[in-house]
Amino acid sequence: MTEAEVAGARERHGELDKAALLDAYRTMRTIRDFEERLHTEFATGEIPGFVHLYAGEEAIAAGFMAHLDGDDYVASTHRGHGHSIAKGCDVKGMMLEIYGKDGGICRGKGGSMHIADLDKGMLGANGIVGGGPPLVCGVGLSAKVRGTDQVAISFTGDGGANQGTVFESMNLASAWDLPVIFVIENNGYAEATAQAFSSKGIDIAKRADGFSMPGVVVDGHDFFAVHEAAGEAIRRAREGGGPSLIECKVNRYYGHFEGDAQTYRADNEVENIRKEKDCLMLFRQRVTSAGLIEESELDKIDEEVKNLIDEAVKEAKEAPEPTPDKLLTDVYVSY
Amino acid sequence: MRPIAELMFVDFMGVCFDQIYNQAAKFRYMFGGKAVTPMVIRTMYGAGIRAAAQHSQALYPIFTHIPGLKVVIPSNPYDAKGLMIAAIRDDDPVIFFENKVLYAVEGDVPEEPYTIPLGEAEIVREGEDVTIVAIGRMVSMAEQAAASLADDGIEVEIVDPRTTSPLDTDTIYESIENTGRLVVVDESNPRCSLASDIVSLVTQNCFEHLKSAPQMVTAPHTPPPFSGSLEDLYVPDPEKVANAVRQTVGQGVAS
Ligand SMILES: Cc1ncc(C[n+]2csc(CCOP(=O)(O)OP(=O)(O)O)c2C)c(N)n1
Ligand SMILES: [Mg+2]
Repeated sequence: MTEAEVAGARERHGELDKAALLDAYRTMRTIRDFEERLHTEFATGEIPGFVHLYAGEEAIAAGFMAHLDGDDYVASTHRGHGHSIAKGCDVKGMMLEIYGKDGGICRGKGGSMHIADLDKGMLGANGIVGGGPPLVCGVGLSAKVRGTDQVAISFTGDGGANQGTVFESMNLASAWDLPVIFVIENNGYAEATAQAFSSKGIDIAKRADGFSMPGVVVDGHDFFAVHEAAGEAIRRAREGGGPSLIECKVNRYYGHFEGDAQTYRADNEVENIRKEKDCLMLFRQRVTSAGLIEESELDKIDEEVKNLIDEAVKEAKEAPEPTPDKLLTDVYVSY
Repeated sequence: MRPIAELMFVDFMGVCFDQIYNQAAKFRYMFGGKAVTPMVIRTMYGAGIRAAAQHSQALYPIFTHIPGLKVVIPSNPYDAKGLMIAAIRDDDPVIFFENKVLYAVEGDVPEEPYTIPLGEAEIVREGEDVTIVAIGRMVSMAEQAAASLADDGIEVEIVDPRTTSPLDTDTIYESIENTGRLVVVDESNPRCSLASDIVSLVTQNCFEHLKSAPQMVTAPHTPPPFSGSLEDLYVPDPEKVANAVRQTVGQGVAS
């Protein structure tokens, strides 16, 4: 592609035409089905390790990634399936990975918490809370030095927002005008700790002031609100205007990890959110009532996604585990 | 105050490592003996629960390496309580390593407080032929290996150091004087590990008593893998321990 073509393609990313709306819906639906299916499969005991589900937060991943190209970067969290799907990671490869299979996106060596596809700009889910922001400073600096218009986005939770790494990264990104967006997914809890217990209660977005960067709060259930705020910050970053902080207020539908008894949550907490604020429901209402998309078109996507997830789970269950020799491979490039 | 902080997985120590190794560990020495830092940091270590590379490491060698820190690694419930109370009462910073697989192990623990001194190893099993020094969860691997080796007439002595800093070298050396053979079982990676440390100490200090080359049974020099089929190969198991013991008595089988 010529530079003009790349720029043109990037322009179009911002636009919410019908195809883009359908894409966004498919992304959110895929994440939702992926996660809900993992929830039921995990209960059977067949899935190894820790699994943190993103259900309820889909509008954030979809809203940001709608603006990105394959060569833009994303650094995710332990709750990384949604970011990975939205950034274009192969859904079947992800499922195989979560089942610890050789054909997995990381050859079964990483699992749910380390899903990555560097060719897609997905720098990895992360087992270390606050691990992502320093990484996007790195790729952001690289983009700047190379003179590209790539951007890098890190996702961090409300708990992770209190890590020193996040503050240090915001400072550096601001000092060096890096093309970086710090997204805080504030779902109210860090494991079982309510946000009010671990910080003073002001919006996390306000911290941007201290680093002389724009900081905004958006409703993380509302794809359109996220999409708009994301577009502005990403455009600014691409044009050399430096970093931004965007706090998305949202809720997670399941426990911190699968198996979490969630004794710290109110009785109908999740049920009420699902009824009033579900991102897929809101999106559907908005696009159909505006006459942009027919219900039947969305139903068709639902059906296709359901089939994809069915196939992914079936293939993941049947796939072979890595052979013993793989234990010793890929520690180094050469040794 | 005698603070006890629980830092979850030891893999997370990276984000607060400076406070531990440049600050807490050094206050007393740097300040000419004027400071005390009577703090305990509890942390979980070890592979075996499919938690992958950032939640499964056995990083106690890193902390054992640092002068000023004490390092405790209990292998059973009784020791865990006695060592914890000793750690709390100790005036130095102590890193208390808990193997996450051992949380499921049950054992008798007295109601009343008691202490086990830091720096005192325990002979878990007596035997004449080979000494196994095993760390934390690896004690149970050594015990299982010892039971099967006894069937073949090989009597193993198992030493559980219980703390790796300070390390009760006297008990280890005495055992070597009796057996003349050493296997160290350590769940961490092999380079600069407890295994390599203990083998080196024994080789320097008990060379004349050694009848064969000491053996190490450790995880390989790789991060912990996620997939169960690989993780099961990663952690030392009784079979690998028994094999190493057989090596030391000249009955080695190719592994
Ligand atoms: C450095 C570090 N400390 C602690 C943990 C354990 N841990 C995993 S997720 C989590 C809570 C994170 O909460 P938040 O950032 O709000 O993200 P959420 O799970 O709500 O998406 C904690 C404490 C970790 N993985 N890494
Ligand atoms: Mg949270």
